[in-house]
Amino acid sequence: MIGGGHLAYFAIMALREMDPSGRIVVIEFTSEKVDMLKKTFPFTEAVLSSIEEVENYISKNHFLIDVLVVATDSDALNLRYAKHSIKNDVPIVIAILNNPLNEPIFARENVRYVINPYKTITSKIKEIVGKFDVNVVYEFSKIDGGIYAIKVENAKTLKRVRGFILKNDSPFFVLSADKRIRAGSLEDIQIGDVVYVPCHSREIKSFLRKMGG
Amino acid sequence: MTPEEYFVVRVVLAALSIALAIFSGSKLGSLIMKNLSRFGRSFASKLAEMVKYFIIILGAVIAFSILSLDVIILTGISIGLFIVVLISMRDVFSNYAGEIYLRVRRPFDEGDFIKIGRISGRVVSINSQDVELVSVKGERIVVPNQFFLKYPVVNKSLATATSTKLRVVFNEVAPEEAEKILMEALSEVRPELFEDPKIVSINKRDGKTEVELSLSVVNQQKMKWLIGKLSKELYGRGVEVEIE
Amino acid sequence: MDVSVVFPSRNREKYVRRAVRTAFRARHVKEVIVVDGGSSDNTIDVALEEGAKVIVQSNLVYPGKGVAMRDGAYLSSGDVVVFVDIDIANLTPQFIEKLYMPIMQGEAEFVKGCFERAAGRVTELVAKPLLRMFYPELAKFKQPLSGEVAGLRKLFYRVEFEIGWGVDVGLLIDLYKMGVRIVEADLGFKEHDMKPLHALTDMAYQVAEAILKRAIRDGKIDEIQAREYISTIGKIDLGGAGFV
Repeated sequence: MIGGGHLAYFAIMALREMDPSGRIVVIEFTSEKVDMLKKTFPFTEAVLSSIEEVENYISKNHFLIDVLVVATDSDALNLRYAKHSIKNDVPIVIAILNNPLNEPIFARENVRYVINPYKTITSKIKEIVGKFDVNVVYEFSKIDGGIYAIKVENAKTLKRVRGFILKNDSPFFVLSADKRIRAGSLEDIQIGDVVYVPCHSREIKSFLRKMGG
Repeated sequence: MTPEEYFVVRVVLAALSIALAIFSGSKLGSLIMKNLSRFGRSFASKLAEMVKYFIIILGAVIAFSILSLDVIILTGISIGLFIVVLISMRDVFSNYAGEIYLRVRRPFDEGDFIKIGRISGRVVSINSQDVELVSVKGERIVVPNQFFLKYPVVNKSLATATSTKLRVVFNEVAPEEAEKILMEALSEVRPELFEDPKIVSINKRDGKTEVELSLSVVNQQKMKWLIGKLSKELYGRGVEVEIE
Repeated sequence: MDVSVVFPSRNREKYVRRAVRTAFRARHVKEVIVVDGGSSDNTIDVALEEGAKVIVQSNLVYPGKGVAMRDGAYLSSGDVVVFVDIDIANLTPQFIEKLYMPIMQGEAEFVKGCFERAAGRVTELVAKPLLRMFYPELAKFKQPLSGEVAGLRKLFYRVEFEIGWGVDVGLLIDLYKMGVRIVEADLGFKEHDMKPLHALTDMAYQVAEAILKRAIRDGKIDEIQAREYISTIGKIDLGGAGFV
C-alpha cells in the first residue's frame, strides 16, 4: 500500500481479512504517519519513504508484490505510482481515487482497477429516493458489466424490460413495491417493481438508448 | 468551347476531384477515429490513415481519368503491385487481421495472464503486429497476432492466482520426516503465497523421497525467488534437496 | 535537463489550446500538464487533443491553486517543473523559457517570475510588509506572490503546498529556509485579467496566514500574537471606506 490515510484504512482491513497470513507493507512519507500506522495496524510493516524513493522500491521489489494499492491523498501521485507499477509487471494494481472525475483519466492510462469510493453515494441516494430509470447498483471489477436496477414505471418500460431480459437471456430478480424479493418468470414482473439484472455494460447501454436515455 | 478551354475545365475538375478526395478522406478518418477509438487509439488511427489514403488514391485515379491519362495501364500496374505486396507481406496483413480480431473480440486485455499453445505469460501490450507477454521466469515473449486467429487462447485472469507444481527431492530422508521438514520450511514463505501450499504426492524411489507440491502465487515472477528461499530454508534445516 | 510545464486551469477552454501549443514550442519542454480544477467546459478534451497530460486536482476546493500545483508537480517527470497561468493573453515560448533558463544555466534552483504591471494590492499591503517583518531577506522580491515559478522537480517533493492563495509565498519561504538558490526573472509584460477588489480579502487572509504560520514554525513570533494578527487581517475589507 502506498499511503496510509483514511481511505487506506479500509483497504488494509480488506487485505488482512482476505489473507491473514499475508504480508502487508504500507509506505508513508512522514514519521508521524508511520508511527500512527504501527500503532493502528501492528500486523503491517510500516515503511518511511520519500516521494521519489517509492518508485525505486517498486522497481526493486516488483517480483514480490502481488497487489499494489495506491491510496495517497494525491491522484497525481497515485497515477504516477500506478503507471510505474504496471510498467514493472506488478500483477494487480489498484488505485483509490480522491476525485471521482479522475476515473476516466486513470482508465485512459490503462490503470485497470480503480476504486471510486464516492460512486455508492449516487446509487444509494437514487435507491433511497426511488426516482430513477436505471440505477447502477454494483460494477464488476474484472469484466465490463455490473448489476443494474431498472424501475418499471409504466407499461412501456415493462414491455421493454421483458424484451431486454428475453433478448439477453439475463437472470434477474425483482424487488416488488411491497418489499418482497422474488425471482420469478417474466410475466410476474409488474408496474412498480424494480428489476435487478446482472449484465454487460454494452447491453444496458443499448437498453438505455432504446428507452431514449 | 475551344480545346484549350476544355482542357482548363478538365484540369479544374481534376483538381476538384483530388481536393474532394482529401477532404472526404480526412473527414472519414476522423469519423473512424471517433467511433473506433474504444478498440484502441493507435489501432483506430492506423485504420483511419489507411482509409484516408485509399480515398485520396481513388481521387487521384479519378483525376487522371478526367485528364484522359491512360488509366488502364496505371490501374493494371497498381493492381499488379498490390498483388505482389499482398503475397510478399501476407504475414504482415495476417498480423493486422489478428489485431482487428483481438481489438473487437477482446479475448484478453493487457494485464491478463494467458496461455496459447505451450506459451503462457502476462500480456504486456497488444500491438499491430504482435502481442508481448512476460513469462513466469521474467522472459519477454512476442507472439505474432496471426497465431491468435489459428490457435485457442486460454485467459487465466479471472483467477487471481496461478498454481505451479514443484518437485522436491530429498536425499536419504524418510517420507514422514521429509513432509515435516518441508511444511516447516514452507511456513517461512507462506506470506508470499496466495493460499496454503498443497502436498500433491510423496513417493520413495531409489532411496530418495520425492515430494510433489503445488504453490499458488499471484505474481508469477516470484517463483524463482520462492524456490531460492525454500532451498535456503531446507538447507538451513540440514537437508540436501533438488527442486524442479 | 528537460522541462515539464504545468498549467493549473478551470473553465479555460478558450485559452488552453493556445497555451499548450505555445508551451510545446519552448525549448527542452518534454511534456505539458494541465491540472483541471473541475471544469464544466471542454478544457480537458481540448488539452488532451493538443497532447497535454491531464489530471483533475485531487481536492476540488476553491481556491485550490496549491492542490493543483502539488498535483502538477507530482505528475511531472521532467527535471524542471514550470508553473504558468493558462490565461496569459501574450504568452510566448520565450516567456516560459525565461522562467527556467536560470536553472538550466546552473544559476538557480528556483525561479520566481516577475513582470511589468501595477503593483498588486495584496502584495504591497500584506505580503511585503509581513515578509519585511519576518523574512527581510525575501522582501527584495518584487512579486513574492507571483504564480509563475520554476524549480527542480525534486524540490517540490520536499515542501508542503498550501491549499489556497498562500501557496506561492509559502513555497518561497520554505525553499529559502532549505537553502535553495532563488532568483527572480523578469518576464516582461503580462496581459492577464486582475481580480476584482472584493475577491482580494480572502486572498490577503490566506497569504498572511501562510507567512505567519511559517513565522511561528521558525520561532519568529508567538502563536497567540500571530492568531490575533490573522484575525485582524480577516476583518479588513480592502474594498471598504478608508482604502484606495
